[in-house]
Amino acid sequence: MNDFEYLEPATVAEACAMLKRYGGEARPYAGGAYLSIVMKQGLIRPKALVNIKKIQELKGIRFDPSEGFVIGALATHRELETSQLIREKLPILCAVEREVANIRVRNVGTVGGNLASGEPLTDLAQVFLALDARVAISGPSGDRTIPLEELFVDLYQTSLGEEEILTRVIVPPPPPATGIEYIRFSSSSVVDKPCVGVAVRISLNADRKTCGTVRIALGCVAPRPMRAQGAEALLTGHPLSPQLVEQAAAAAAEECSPISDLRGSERFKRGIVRVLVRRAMAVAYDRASHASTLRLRSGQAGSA
Amino acid sequence: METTEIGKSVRRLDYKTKVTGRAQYLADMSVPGMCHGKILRSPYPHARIVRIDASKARQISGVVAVLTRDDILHDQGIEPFYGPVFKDQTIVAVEKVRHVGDPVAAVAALTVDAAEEALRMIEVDYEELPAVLSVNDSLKPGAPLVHESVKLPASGFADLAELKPVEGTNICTHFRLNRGDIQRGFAEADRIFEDTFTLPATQHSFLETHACIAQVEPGGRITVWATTQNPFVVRTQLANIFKVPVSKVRVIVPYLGGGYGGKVYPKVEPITVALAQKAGRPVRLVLSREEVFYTITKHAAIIKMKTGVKNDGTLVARECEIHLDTGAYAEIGPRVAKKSGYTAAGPYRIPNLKIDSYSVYTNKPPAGAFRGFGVSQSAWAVESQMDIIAAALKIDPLELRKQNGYDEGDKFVTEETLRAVGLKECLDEVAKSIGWGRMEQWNNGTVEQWSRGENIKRGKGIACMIKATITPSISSAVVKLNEDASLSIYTGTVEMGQGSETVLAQIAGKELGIPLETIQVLGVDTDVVPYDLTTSSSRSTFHMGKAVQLAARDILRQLKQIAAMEYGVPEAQVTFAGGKIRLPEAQLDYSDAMFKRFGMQGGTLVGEGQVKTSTKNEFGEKSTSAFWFLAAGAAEVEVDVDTGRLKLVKYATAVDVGKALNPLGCRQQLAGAAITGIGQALFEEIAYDNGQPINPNFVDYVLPSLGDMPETIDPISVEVPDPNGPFGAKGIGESALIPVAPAIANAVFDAVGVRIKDLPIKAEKIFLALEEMKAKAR
Ligand SMILES: Cc1cc2nc3c(=O)[nH]c(=O)nc-3n(C[C@H](O)[C@H](O)[C@H](O)COP(=O)(O)OP(=O)(O)OC[C@H]3O[C@@H](n4cnc5c(N)ncnc54)[C@H](O)[C@@H]3O)c2cc1C
Repeated sequence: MNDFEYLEPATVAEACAMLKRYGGEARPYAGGAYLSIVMKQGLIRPKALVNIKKIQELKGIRFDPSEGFVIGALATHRELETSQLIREKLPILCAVEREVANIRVRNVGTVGGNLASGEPLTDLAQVFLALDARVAISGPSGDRTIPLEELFVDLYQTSLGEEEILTRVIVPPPPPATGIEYIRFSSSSVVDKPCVGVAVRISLNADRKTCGTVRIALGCVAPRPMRAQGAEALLTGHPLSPQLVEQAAAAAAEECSPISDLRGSERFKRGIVRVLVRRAMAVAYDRASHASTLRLRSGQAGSA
Repeated sequence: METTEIGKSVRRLDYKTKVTGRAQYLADMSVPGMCHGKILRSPYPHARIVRIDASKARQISGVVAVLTRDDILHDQGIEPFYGPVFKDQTIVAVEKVRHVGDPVAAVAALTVDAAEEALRMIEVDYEELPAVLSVNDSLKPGAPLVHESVKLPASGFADLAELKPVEGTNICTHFRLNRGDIQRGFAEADRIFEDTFTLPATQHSFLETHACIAQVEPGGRITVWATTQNPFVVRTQLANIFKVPVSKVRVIVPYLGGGYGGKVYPKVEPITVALAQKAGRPVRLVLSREEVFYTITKHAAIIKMKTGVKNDGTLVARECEIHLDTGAYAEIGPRVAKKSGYTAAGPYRIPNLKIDSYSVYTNKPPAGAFRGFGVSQSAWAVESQMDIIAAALKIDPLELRKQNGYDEGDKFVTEETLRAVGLKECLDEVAKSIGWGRMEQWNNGTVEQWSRGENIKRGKGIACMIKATITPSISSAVVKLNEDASLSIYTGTVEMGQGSETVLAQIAGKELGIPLETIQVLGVDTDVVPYDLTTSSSRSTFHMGKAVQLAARDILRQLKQIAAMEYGVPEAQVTFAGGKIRLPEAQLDYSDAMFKRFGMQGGTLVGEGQVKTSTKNEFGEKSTSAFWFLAAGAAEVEVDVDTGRLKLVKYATAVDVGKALNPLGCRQQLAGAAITGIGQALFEEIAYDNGQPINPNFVDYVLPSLGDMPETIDPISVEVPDPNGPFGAKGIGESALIPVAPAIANAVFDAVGVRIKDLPIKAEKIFLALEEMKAKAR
């Protein structure tokens, strides 16, 4: 590993100023689960690491009736997994977190780092995309909030400026009669990074039969986590039928652009997308039909 | 304190030290004045080295020595070529590099950082050469040669004497086995089955990477602290390379953090010694995980198997061609190939055989010994094809195995008589454990159901194996009875996690009737302990255990003499029980006898035991193995017919252990080997791109985790005693691993009708095969 300065800001403003001082040669350092690996491999050689872990304003998980769930960038995977609030009100997230990586990575890895790294083989983005999450970002020139979708640009590339900090993830309160399911598919060991991840959210119309809002979020099968909008459109306004599910699943498998790599061939990944979309959709629809309150029902996150 | 028992579980003696993290491993150690070594490695699979200029590297502050080919070629004190079978390796590359990661130069420096910086300053000009990156490419006529010629050692292994590289080709060795009349055999067959099976290169994945500390005294005396499974072989090789008598080489082995075959024969020791010699001070070299991928792998293999069978299931003929990818250096590949060949008939009586087993050079990192030593390759083919045959003939796979399987007194393929053969007991035990016969039939119903859970199919599979142990071999032990009747045991057996310390202490304790707590097993230091060939081939309990038993008996013999002499009774009237000497009228403690002998509180009795196996057994028959390993495994799996995802529900493993000296230790070895087998079966594979491993880390090279384990792994010890083992014991380290992959593949077939012939059995392979099946069904 190369030599680097180690900095420890107490506030977001301070952190941004430090990042600015190094003009692109410094990196925020959260859990280090990603950074420590790429630095040891010599893939990136920052001049300074700005350890943001002591910044209070980046911590915590809370629910605000108007904003929704506010998850601080420093919340670790493990905190989400064990949070009472999340377990009660957004149990899908708990269930997903139980399957992320392994306990060692979950203990240190943060939500902010997970999203800001732009790593392609991850899980959280799909769930957040399906829930229309937004991310709050602070920089030397002020704060902004963008839909999560706009954060991701390409493999390992985000729209974050070099001097910016991702401060929190905001998940709006889902409409009534909403069901969500996430299925994480690993092509080998259960602790391997995901090969495909599919989240489906269905919010039913007032008739409680026809789909109102549909979100199909696909992970690991494109340069960035993506929504299968063609597939979503097929369902909107319709009740779910086996034929429709099959069509939407096929459409989603078409829309993505997986590459062949260690975790599977393009053909295999498209096949898996199709199966997972089909399965997740059935579960999400079922949960939506039975949903009573704000609580998003979920048992265990599906693990295929 | 209780007297030591065998057949009763004891907790391993080293558990506290290891669990509390206090065990010393090599990378934790340092010696005064030590500096740090680093290796510059080839970026190309095959290239000529045109020029090396290390002058800039030498200028880096903190650099003590830079080692290049000039140092090993022009030093009269160094024999540049070495290798356990053929002398095809050099300390650093001389004319060519032969695989990505081949050592080109090395640096010793005061800090690791300085050493790394110096590596970057070494200028090397390469002229890239066409490379052979697979066995198939390598065997093509006119293929580029990995070695233009190979030097043979003056005296090699007796069991490999007939094997030589085939000049002008990349064939490292070709082992042939012919039996009966192959043509007639196939003519007699009702059915002939032809299949090709493959398995990829994998890693041993020990926690501790290879490391070495070397120190060379001005007089030339060499001391190395080494992560090795065979310190005496390393000693011999270092003595040859550095041209000194073996008495001038001292090899010390701290606790070894796993070996699995990946730490036999020299690895980083020669380069560390050469660096230390040049640096004039001790050097420590610790490989990174990535470097281990360049250092040693398990042989990838392509196995073509043609088998003739009678309609009733009797195996009558087999032709088998095995190609093992041995990588850029022979290492111990020739013996691995030989063992693959010997076991290509599996544990079955097949009268007519034609077996050709090749080790083949390629421009890939070298392959060597791996737990199972060639048999996990051959057994993958043998045991998969058994089920292909069983399915075609509609015979129960268990019955087919029992019908053809070896019994006591059968002749092995070498025509020697098999003794102490617990094969069928093992098969019956795993079958019982897994509920064989109560098989869920795959219901071919609609596979296009769209809710979860309904697409899961279950299946069961079984497999078995036979393996030999390295023969001939030598183990010697010395035990010292101290004045207080406590015992010190000196052996060259390396404690690498297998529990050898514990079992050796148990054997001595039982023989002498003394408590385990009074026994100390010493660490390995070739200056102190007597010769042992190797801690591998599952041989230590059988060989070293016996040597320790004999050494303990030597102590009893001496005590008997002392008691007879001192008390004036005939030796025949002196007996032993419960750690005491019984005379007709009295009973003595060992310490009393010692006091009598030495006349004071002091003195030592030294007992010695030697075990030497040879290529002839005690009946004058040919013997390729001092004893035989027999084992079986059975798997129950669930397969998701939509995704191909496989879940292991249960795994049962039965091994003929001869006698379970420490039943807990046996269960741990069996379960541990099965877990390694599960990784090899399901996930593990080194992926290469133009000869460059692309997953040389444990994020992308996927090992099994707890979450991948079946709820139950049932380790079963079958006891068919071997009269030559201590208390009847045999070795057990490798057996349980071997049946895992074929048992799982057979279970997958049982579940969904898909036959996977290429390891690992990844979800994708099952998925694609299912797609094909579904397409045909439509
Ligand atoms: C073995 C392994 C397995 C894994 N498996 C999974 C998995 O199954 N599913 C999954 O989802 N993920 C998985 N991951 C990814 C893991 O969850 C992420 O690496 C982790 O979340 C990164 O978080 P971190 O806090 O450690 O980030 P760091 O390593 O500290 O940082 C990551 C990157 O983000 C930047 N960064 C961090 N925080 C901020 C911020 N607040 N604002 C701006 N930039 C920031 C850093 O500068 C850096 O570039 C795995 C990782 C490993 C090592």
